[in-house]
Amino acid sequence: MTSHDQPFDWKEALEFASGRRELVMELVDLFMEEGPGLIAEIGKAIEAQDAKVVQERAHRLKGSLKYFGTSAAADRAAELEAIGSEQQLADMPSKFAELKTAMDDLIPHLRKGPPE
Amino acid sequence: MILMDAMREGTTMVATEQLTTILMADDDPDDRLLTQQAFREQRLANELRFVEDGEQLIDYLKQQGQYADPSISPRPGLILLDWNMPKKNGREVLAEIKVDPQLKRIPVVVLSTSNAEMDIRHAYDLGANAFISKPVTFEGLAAIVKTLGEHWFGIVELPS
Repeated sequence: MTSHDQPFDWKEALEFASGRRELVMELVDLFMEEGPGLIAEIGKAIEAQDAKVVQERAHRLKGSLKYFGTSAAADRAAELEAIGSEQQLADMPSKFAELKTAMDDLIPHLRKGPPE
Repeated sequence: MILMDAMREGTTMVATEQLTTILMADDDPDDRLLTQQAFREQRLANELRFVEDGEQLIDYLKQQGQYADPSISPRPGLILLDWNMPKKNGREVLAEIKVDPQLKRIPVVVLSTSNAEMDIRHAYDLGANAFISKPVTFEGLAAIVKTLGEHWFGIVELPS
């Protein structure tokens, strides 16, 4: 657990967007289009033991979360990217499971959007 | 959602033939969306087109593959270039552009999350016309877009 494993809040996203809720929701929509697909691709790459693809997709997932500020999902994606970079194949399944849990926690918050 | 649809199609909603086309190369869909939004907010009416990696950028500029038809993929008068991209990165494509007699006069503005002196020097050594660190707020991005518009389309003369 890191200090980032706290309940997700919208503060950083709203600060980035200067309070524009609509702009934040555009970013959420974009993430919802890309994020689940990246998770699926990471899962397949781990099955195929393709560390390079794991690293690349985890990097993209981390990037797609960057405007939502600190989150456990972004942290797990960064850790998985590092594991991929170091070709630590044995550590990938457990880190991937942590990433999926963090994504499952995060997505309902994102769908709801920032408070009105 | 209209904005996102327009972005996916690779063009802004406001397309004016006589205005210089701007081509942005960036693999990050968030950054493409935000740049498009900043153009709208600043009412910059130039056509903004997108490619997603260095190979696509070179194909576009050389009118190859899916970009072979110049009536569909007009030559840009300004390139916004992400420094870190897959396939061919910003360094590689900038070097390629600036040694090509057909392309070297197109101004290239490098956009990067880095502000490392090494990257800045490298970009200018390769012929970049400006190096801008990506801002950390949308307002910062909108201010950059406003300044780019004033500079490149209000002050300087561009080659035809």
